[in-house]
Amino acid sequence: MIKRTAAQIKADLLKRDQEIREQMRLLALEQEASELELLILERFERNYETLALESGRRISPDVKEAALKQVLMYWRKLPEVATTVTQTEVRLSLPNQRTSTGTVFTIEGVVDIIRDNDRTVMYDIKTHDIDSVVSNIELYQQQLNVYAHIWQTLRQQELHETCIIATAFPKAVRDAVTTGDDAKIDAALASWNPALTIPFDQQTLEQTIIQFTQTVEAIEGGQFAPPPVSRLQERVPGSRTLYATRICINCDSRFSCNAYRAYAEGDQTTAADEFGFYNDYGTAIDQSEWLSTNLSIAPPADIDDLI
Amino acid sequence: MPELTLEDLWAESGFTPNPEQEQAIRHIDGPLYLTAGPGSGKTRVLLWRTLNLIVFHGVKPEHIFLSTFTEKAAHQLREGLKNYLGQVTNHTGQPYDLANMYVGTLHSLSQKIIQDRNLNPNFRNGRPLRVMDELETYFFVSRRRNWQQLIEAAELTDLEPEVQNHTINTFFDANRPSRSRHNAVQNVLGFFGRLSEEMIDPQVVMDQAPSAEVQMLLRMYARYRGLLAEQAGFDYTDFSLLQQKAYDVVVSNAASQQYFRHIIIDEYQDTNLIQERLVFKLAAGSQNLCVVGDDDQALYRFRGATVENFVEFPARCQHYLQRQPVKIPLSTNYRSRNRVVQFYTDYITRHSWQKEGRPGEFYRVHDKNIQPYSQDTEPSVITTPAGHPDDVSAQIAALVRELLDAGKVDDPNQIAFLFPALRNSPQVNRMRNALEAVGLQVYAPRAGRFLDTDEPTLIFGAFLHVFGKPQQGPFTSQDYTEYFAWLDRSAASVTALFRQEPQLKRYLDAKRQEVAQVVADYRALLATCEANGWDVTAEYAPDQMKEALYRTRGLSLKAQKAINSVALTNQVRRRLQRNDGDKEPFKLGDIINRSTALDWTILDLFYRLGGFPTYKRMYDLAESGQDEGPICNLGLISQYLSRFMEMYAIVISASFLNDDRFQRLLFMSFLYSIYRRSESEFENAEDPFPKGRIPFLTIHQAKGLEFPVVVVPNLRKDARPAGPVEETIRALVPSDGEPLDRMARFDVARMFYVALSRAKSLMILGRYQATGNYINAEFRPMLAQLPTTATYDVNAFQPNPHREEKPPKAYSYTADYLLYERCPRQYMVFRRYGLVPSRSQTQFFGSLVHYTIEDLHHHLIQKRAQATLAV
Repeated sequence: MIKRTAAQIKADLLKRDQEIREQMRLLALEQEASELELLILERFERNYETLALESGRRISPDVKEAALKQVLMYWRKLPEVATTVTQTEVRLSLPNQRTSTGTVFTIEGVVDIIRDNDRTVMYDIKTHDIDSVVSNIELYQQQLNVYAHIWQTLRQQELHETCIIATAFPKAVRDAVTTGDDAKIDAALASWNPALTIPFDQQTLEQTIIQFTQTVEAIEGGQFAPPPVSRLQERVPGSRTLYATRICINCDSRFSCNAYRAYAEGDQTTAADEFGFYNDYGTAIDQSEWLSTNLSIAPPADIDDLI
Repeated sequence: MPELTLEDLWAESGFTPNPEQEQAIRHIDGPLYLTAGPGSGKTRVLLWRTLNLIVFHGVKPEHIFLSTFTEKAAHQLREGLKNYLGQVTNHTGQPYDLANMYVGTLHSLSQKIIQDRNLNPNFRNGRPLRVMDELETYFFVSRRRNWQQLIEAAELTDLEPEVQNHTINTFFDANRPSRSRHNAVQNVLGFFGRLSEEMIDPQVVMDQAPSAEVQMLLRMYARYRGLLAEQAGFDYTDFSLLQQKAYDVVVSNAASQQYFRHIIIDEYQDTNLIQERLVFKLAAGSQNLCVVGDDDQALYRFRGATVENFVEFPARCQHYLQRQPVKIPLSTNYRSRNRVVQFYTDYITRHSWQKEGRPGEFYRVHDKNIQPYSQDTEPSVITTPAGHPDDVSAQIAALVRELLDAGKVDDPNQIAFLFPALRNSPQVNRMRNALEAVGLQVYAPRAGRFLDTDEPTLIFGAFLHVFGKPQQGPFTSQDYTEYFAWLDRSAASVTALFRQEPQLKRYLDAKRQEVAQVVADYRALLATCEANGWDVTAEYAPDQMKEALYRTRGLSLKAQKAINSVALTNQVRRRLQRNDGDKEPFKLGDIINRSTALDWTILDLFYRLGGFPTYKRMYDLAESGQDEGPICNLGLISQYLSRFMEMYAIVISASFLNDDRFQRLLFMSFLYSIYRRSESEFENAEDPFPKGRIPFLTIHQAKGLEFPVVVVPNLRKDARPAGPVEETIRALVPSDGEPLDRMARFDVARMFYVALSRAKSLMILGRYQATGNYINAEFRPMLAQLPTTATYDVNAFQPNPHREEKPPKAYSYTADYLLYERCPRQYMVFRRYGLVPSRSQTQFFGSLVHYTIEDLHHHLIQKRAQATLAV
């Protein structure tokens, strides 16, 4: 046993030392990561309180939980993005656009920029899931094309890549979560890539700006008719839900909307009850969560003091 | 690439400054005094001056303090700056971030100062700041408990409440003192505001108080400040005291007096004492204080503004900064045609502004030399023939109709009618009737109570059907009787719809039934608890309690389902096992509340009413572009409803409904206060006035606005002597300001000056001449020389060719373009008209995620910057 050579001992010690160093490095990383998660938690709560104060509303605990998960997963999945962002909330503007009636306007957008030694990447963070981004790729391509144009042509800065980060869980992850099987969840999470490179192509730029200008003209011209009922019956690209059940159901002004009313008339589920159309407050679970959140704020006890 | 210059940028945006404008833009060192006449391009000068500082003199945006009179003006300046800076970035690649720049009203910037760690290092150590706006301050003081404290301070507790109020109100209105608490609250709040703005410490001036009544009010004020300080949780403040707080911060942190390199104050003629002290303190280090304004347009004495701040600015500069400002007059009027400019210039100089016994000194910046840019000699100011107001109104209405029929203006909203006051004015009603007689509709945001207009009447009428009408007490005050008449009218306006819209009746009946049912269930469940000897504040033990609750006699199916629901059962279990975060297990009362709460909020009900024809029409009119008035009013109603929910509760539980508590809070406290305070109609921040209607505005509302055609039908305004509040303030803090006996005449002159300087192309003046109806003396010789409407040919109407290019509007790719693409109607309702969504989880969710990710990025960027610095 004692026959080990000095060289062996030295090598062993060195190895041990290296192992310890490596472990310390990992520990430090872990600590830093958990410190950052603590920071995320703290900022998240603060932002939640600020938004609640500003809007006078709260969101139900499950929705709040989902929001926190999105931020945490963004950080866990894409730390290399988060830690290398060089400019956040970069405001891009394309001034001097003109409508056919001569109104001058500016197109604005906000992105994050990562500049490494020789590469510049532009990121746009979306709270949708990646599947819906893929299905609506044109829309995102148009958007990033405009941003890229401002960056490259107007600002004369280099740009190597444009990228969408979609922070909502994709369907595969959501499905895995419903099985409750940790291994499946881990696998789904591992194969999920929230970042998607969007090829940029100046060809479509002009077309996008024309469309944008038409939209501004429509807004200024007061054109506010809802989409036709046929569109409400279509599926939202990249999802199995209909436009009406995705967009309209979250819109409080649907009750006065001709398109939605026409859609609902064709929908037999509410026919049994005269006011089924109006008595729609989301699913029973939604409603239960909503009650839990908002009942915690008790009405004033002494009404006479306030009259 | 050649160096970018200001001239390049001007050329690019089509701006050619005149020599004074250019001098003002390029002035960067020391105090600056800009006297800006009407339509002289002041906003552009401010924009370019700020841009010049940032781009060509390396001043960081966060070191510029730029205040405006309204948040809307601040928003426009910020948008304009963003746009021009965006242009610069496109040339130079140098980005600019305005996120931390101080742009806003002096109120909002005061708040920012208090919460800014750079200026107030101690901010985080204290209680968080809670600023109450006027309505909240009103509710705060009117709470019985708080009001009682003020009455104690006033030493009036021995009197009957009505006599207490009467005693207080006598000071403010000795001729017709009211007996109402509401008036007493309004009166003392107005007085408190003035005391705060004049930085009066009640203890210090107590001995100088001219009367026992003033001493009483000073004691009440002291108590009020004590009450604010005693509130738990937050550091409460009202709007006026907010500025004092900011001033104290700046005084106590020497570094904060060095922080801003440039301080720019717009509409300086409307600032008050505390604001003057604050801005000079902020400028103590840099001395770069630029004030912009026009004393002739000073309108806000009743809010404590002292026009002397502006008129005497050079002397004040000498006093505070020990140097004289550079004075640059912006005197070319681009807005109005020649004759309009001549008319109002003539008008203001017909008054005497001389200081008594001090020759050569004036209560006005008297050497302005306003010049019109337009040199045309065509008539652009006309009057009606002298006559009875009925005839004058008819003449004006006929001419307006002609102008519209001839297509001389695009829309009725281009023709503004300006009045000294809109409330209870027979002249206003006359004019409205005359216009309606020729088929024109009027939009008069301040003519009456907002609640008296159609939309609130119909919405709250429906609410009365659902929640029931409060019982009328034995009170006989005018407000009370009128309010109950309004409640009756509102309920009746909805009943009147029932024949045509039976479905609406059935719907409201069903909702009313739901309300009655949850209350009945609630009482039944309480009875079960009592029978079993359970305390509702005890922890809910499902094993023992659930069955009994479920089997409660007469309980509705809905409540049974709620008690038995899987979702609730699971949640109860999770909380009992402490698996639901740190949330406490449910109390028995929580379970009862949950099982007997309504499914909907008042905002949910508000939006559902939109499905019934009469209400739906309000949305349809906006969608088709025919009339924006109704939806603007819906927007304001939704804001009030949201406010009620914020102040009290979101969910309407049966315990809240029980004993009419909810009903009384909504109708007898919240809405009654809004009714009595005569809150006014919605004013859109972007497009000032709805299309399709002729705006009737007070002259105060018209400040800063311009219209192709302006009508001033009533040129009479009597100068009233200074009131008890002004007299008291003078007695407490003597000043050499405008003499009390001349103040009112000065104010009338300034008010009409504002009215007369709004027209771009045509101004039409009414010439009343009948028993009891006349016009102010200065106008008589002036009107005698004008062409009349009888001879005016509308075909001679010429629009003023000069068009002040507004800073372009910014459209966001996501918040505008994509939102509109998703649904134009949703865009209209929520983004354009600002209706408050009822359950806006999507928006809240998106903002929450984005803000937090931004915070994370910020943190990481900063951390890396520090690491690099350390290396």
